[in-house]
Amino acid sequence: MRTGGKLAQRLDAMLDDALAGRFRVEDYDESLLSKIESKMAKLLDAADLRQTRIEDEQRRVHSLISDISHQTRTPLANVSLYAQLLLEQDLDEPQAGLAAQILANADKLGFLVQSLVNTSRLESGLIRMAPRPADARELVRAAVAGCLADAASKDIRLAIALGDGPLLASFDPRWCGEALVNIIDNAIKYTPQGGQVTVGAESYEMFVRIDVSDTGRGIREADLPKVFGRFWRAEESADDPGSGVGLYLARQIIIGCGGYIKAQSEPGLGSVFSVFLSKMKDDRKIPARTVVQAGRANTSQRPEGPL
Amino acid sequence: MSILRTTDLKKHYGSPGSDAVSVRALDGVDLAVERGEFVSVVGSSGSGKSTLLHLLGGLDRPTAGQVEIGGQPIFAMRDDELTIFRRRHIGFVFQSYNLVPVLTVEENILLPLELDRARPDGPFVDQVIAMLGLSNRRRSLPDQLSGGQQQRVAIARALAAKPAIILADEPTGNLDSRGGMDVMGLLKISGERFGQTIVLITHNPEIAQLADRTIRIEDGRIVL
Repeated sequence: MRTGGKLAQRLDAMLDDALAGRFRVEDYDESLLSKIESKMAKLLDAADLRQTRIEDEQRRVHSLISDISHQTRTPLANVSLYAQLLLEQDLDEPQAGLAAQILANADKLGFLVQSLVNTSRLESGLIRMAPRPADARELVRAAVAGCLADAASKDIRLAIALGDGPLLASFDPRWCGEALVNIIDNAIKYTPQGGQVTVGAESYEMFVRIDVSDTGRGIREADLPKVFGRFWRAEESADDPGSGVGLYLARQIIIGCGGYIKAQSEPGLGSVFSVFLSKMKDDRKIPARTVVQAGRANTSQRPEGPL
Repeated sequence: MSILRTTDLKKHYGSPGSDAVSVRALDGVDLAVERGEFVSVVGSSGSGKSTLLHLLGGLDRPTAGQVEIGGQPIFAMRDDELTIFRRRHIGFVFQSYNLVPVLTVEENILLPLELDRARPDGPFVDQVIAMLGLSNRRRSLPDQLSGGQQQRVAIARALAAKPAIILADEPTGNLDSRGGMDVMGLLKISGERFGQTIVLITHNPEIAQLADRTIRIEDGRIVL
C-alpha cells in the first residue's frame, strides 16, 4: 500500500510529536505544510488550555465555596444571635458595651464572608451576570440612596451630579448596584469627617462612565494598580475598618457585565473611581474573569488558544 | 507557559570601533508575559520602551539576546520567515491607525487574513466587529470615521487574525480623553473576551493602569 508521499509522512511525524507532547512548528513559509503546522500548534494549545481551565475551575469551586459559605456562615449567624440574646439580658453598662462590640464585629465579619462567597461564586461561574439595557442614572440614584446613612454618620456630603436624559447602558442592575455601593462605601470610609463624595455619570460613544470622586486622603501612584487586588489595603489604612474585598468584588462584577473600572488619585486631595459600563447590548453571558491571585489575572474564556 | 519571553535583550546604536559612544537603547531586558495577560510598559520618552516593542514584534533585530513567542525564538528565523511569522502571530496597533483609505472597514479588517490566503473565521470576525461597535460601519471608508472609530477598526484588524499576541504602541496618542478611554476600554474588554495576550506601551499612567501588570522601563532597563 502506498504511504501517500512526503506530505503524509510529515503529517504522520507531526501527529507522533503531538501525541508525545513535543510538537513544534518547524517551517515558516507559504507552503501548505507550514500552514498545517501552524494550525496544529493552535489546536494543541487550545486543547491544553481547556484541560487546565477545567481543572482549575473545579478546584476553585470545591475549595472556596464549600469552605467559606458552609463552614463559616452558620457559626457566624450563631455568634450574632447569642450576642443579641446577651444584649437582651439585664447587663450593666460596660457589659452591654462589650456585647454590642461582639455584635458589631460579627456583622462586619458576616459582610466580609458574604462578599467572599459572592466573589468566589462569580469567579467559578456559579453566578453569571445578566446584563440588560437599563438606565445608569437609576443605578446611581439607588446606590447613593443606600449610602446616605453611612455618609451622614460621618458628616460627609454625598451628592449626585447627573445630566439630563437617560444614560442607557448594558448591565446587571442588582449586581452593579452592589458594585457601586462598594465603591461609594469605600470613598466614604477614606474621606475625613466633613468631606464630600460626589457620584456623577456621563455618556461616551461606547460606554457610560460613572465617577465616584471623594475629598479623601488619596492613593499613591505606586499603589493605584493594586487597589483592586483581593485583600489589598494601603499601609497607612491598616487601622481603619475595611477588609480589602469590596473594590475587588466591584471590579469582578463590572468586568462580568462587560465593563471596566479604573482609579485615579491625587494624594492629599482625593480619588476618583470610574466605572465604565458598555453600551453594547450583549446577550452572550460573559463569565467574570477568573483571578489566579490578587493582581495577577487570567481570562477564563478563550474560544481558541492563539498560536 | 509564557507566550512571550525575552532573554538579556540588548539594542545598542553606534558604530563599533568608532570613537562615538554607543547609545544603549535597551540594556539587558528579561521579560516574561503569560498567555492572556494584559501587560503595560511605561517609561518616559527615550527610555527604550518603543525599541522594546519593535524588538518584541520582530520589526528590528537586537544587538544581543532573543525574543521567544510561543516558544519560537524569532531572531533565529530568516527575514522572510520572520515576516510570515509576524503576519500570522503578532497583531499591531499603533498610534497612527494605518488603515488603507480605499478599503472599507470590513475589507481593512480582513486584509491581513487575505494576505495570508487564510480563510477568515466568519462568526469570530462578526463577534469582533460587534464587540468593537462597528457593526453598522462595515461598509464605511476610514475617512468617514472618527479617530476613535478608526482605531477600533485597527484593533479589530489585529484581533481578526487571532494572533498569539497584540502589541500596542500609544494607541490613544491621537485621541482626546473620551475617545481614548473608549478605545482603551474596548481593547481591554476584547482582550479579556477573546483571551488575547496584549502588551501595551504608553507614557500615560492612567491608561497603563488598565493592565493586569505594569512594567516600568528607564534607561533601557526594567526598574521595579
